[in-house]
Amino acid sequence: MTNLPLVLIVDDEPQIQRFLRHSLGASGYDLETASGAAEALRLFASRRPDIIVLDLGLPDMDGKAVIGQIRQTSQVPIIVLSARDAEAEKIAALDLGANDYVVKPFAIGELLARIRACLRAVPSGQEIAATLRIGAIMIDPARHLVTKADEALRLTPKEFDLLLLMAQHPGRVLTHRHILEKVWGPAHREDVAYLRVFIGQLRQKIEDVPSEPKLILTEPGIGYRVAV
Amino acid sequence: MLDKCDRTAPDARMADQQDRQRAGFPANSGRGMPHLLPYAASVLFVAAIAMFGTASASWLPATGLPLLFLVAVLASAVTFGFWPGITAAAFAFTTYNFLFVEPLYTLRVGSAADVLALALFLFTAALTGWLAGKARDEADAANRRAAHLDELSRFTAALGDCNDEVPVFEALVHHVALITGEDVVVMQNKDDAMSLAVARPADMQLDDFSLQACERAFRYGSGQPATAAGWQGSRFGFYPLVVDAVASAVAGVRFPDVDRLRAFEIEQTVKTMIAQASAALGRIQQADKIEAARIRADQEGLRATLLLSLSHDLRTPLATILGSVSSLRQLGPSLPDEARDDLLLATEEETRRLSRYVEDLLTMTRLNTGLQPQLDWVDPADVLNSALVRAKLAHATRIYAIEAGQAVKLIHSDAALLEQALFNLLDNAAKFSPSDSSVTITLRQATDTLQFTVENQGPGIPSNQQAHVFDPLFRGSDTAVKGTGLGLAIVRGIATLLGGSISVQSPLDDKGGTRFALSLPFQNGAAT
Repeated sequence: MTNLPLVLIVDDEPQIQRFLRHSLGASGYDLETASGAAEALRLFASRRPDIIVLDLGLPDMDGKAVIGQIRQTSQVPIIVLSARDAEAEKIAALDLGANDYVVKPFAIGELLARIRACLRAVPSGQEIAATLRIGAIMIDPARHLVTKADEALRLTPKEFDLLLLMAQHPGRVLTHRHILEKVWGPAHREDVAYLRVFIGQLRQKIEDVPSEPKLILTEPGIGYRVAV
Repeated sequence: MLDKCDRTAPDARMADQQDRQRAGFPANSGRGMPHLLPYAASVLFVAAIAMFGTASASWLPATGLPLLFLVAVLASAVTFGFWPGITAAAFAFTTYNFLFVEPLYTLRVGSAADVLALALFLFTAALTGWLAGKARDEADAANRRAAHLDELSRFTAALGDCNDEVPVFEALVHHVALITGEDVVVMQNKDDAMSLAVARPADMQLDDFSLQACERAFRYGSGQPATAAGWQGSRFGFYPLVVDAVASAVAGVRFPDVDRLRAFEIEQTVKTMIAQASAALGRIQQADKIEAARIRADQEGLRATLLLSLSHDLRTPLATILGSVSSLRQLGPSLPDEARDDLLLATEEETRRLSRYVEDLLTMTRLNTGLQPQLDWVDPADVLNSALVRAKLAHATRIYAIEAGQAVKLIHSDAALLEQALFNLLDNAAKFSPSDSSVTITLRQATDTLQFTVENQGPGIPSNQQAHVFDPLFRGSDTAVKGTGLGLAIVRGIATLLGGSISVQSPLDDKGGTRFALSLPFQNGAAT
């Protein structure tokens, strides 16, 4: 029995399991591997992993169905492994409740960063009161105050809500739909163009060089991610 | 020539004769050929009446005789028409005059009453003949129209069964010939010149005038009527078969020399047939377009499947390589030695796998884009050995049992391609059988072919999959075995390129097993 976070790797390629076993082991994680959806669900139920890394192309069941089943009972972070060209699949997985995705092939640093970001984010009431930070930007939710290098920025209420939402999930991708729903409400879920305009305005105010954003990064076709 | 859409008859000419009669054409229907039978019959009628009159002169009243003759004239006119009626009238008058009018046995006319009788005979004959002729002409015309309609419907039915251009042309030629009784031809544009597609008679040659008229009809898409008899020009009328406002063929028709009414009818029927043939061509071309679109979609689908499959097969080794190498770089010091070694080994293995995929892809692409084999005299045993060396590298623990027959003579082939094909067969046999079972290879020579067989003790291939094992990207149900799905497709490609063949047999006994047999000619036809 260890106190190391347990990562459940679900991938039908033994070679992928093989290198992940070495690298995650060396990075301070406990590891469990599954080659198929059924095995993954069984291990999820018996071992209660702290995070799941899930390949969407499984031999016995669609990976998205696995997300759906896990989300019925648990909010355990799920990182999806997917191909670069499968935008629709990624969005569907994120909409189903996956927390993030990594495009195959990936360097190990990328996956480790995502795992850290997902394990760090703890959704709770208390943390929202604390001051949040993105780079040089400090956000004080209680006072509705945003400062950049100790200089107050003037944000509209929606811009503030948008920035706050992003800042609460550092390093994690947030889909267009998710952001629109949280900030503007379910009726505006499809207004992606609207969101682009607000992100543009926000970047004008918080980024050093708005045309080369370093704080709020674009995930083309998917959504946005706050850099860590 | 009988088209295959229509009935087939052992003797085309005989069938043709029957067809023409069915279509309402008496053996001689043209006005150009007078028929003597009606005239002879008319004369016989009158002669019979005369004999009857002579025989019954004793009791028949004199006034009844002209009436009897009139009956003969009427009968002739009604049955045979105008001219036979007139002939009957003239003969009746002459006979009546000769036999029964004073002075007897002379042709002199004695009284005004006899002149009146003669005039009456002629007038009655002419009027009746004309009326009867007209009625008969109309009945004939109605019959002909019915026959034409009949033929048209038969033609339409024949067209319905056609699903290629040529049968349509054959049906058109056959049925138009039944209507016209003359030569018919269908011309098509080939390499910018009109050439004969279907003709009747089959050995027909068109003269220059006809060819020019045909080209005009094709180019302008409009009918070119035949030149009138006695003038220089085309004997055929040429009518384009227009599909989507473009002439796709031209029908050349000779019309029979008949009266204007019948000529008009025939022309109308023929034009209707040509229009129907055009519609049938349009339908066929549409079907061809749909078929072509379907094939294109299939090919696109295959390409998409290929890409999808490849992207998966290429990504997995790439993901392993990138993941392993980046782990080594980033986590290097914290990794235990065995882990580092294993990551390096994984990188090496996956790089090899990637390289094999790329090789397979390249070979497949080269086979598909007209690869020229480098033919030379090759020792088959040598090639088999080098394939075995490669196979043993790939499947280190596998036992390969070779059952070579007697010393095999040299084969004229491409050594590199042959080795590739053999390696793929060995690799395939090893992949799809338990790792502790052996793979058996035989090498046999027949008179002019060399046969390699590669046999494993795997579970075998279900019979419904055997037809597909050589298809690119086909993979059996055993998904645990990794591969591109190209190996056997490459074997077939190489076998075909080298003039040989590949076949599969499975299961070999109740325990399973699969045997692939590659046959190659000793002397390659491509080289000689």
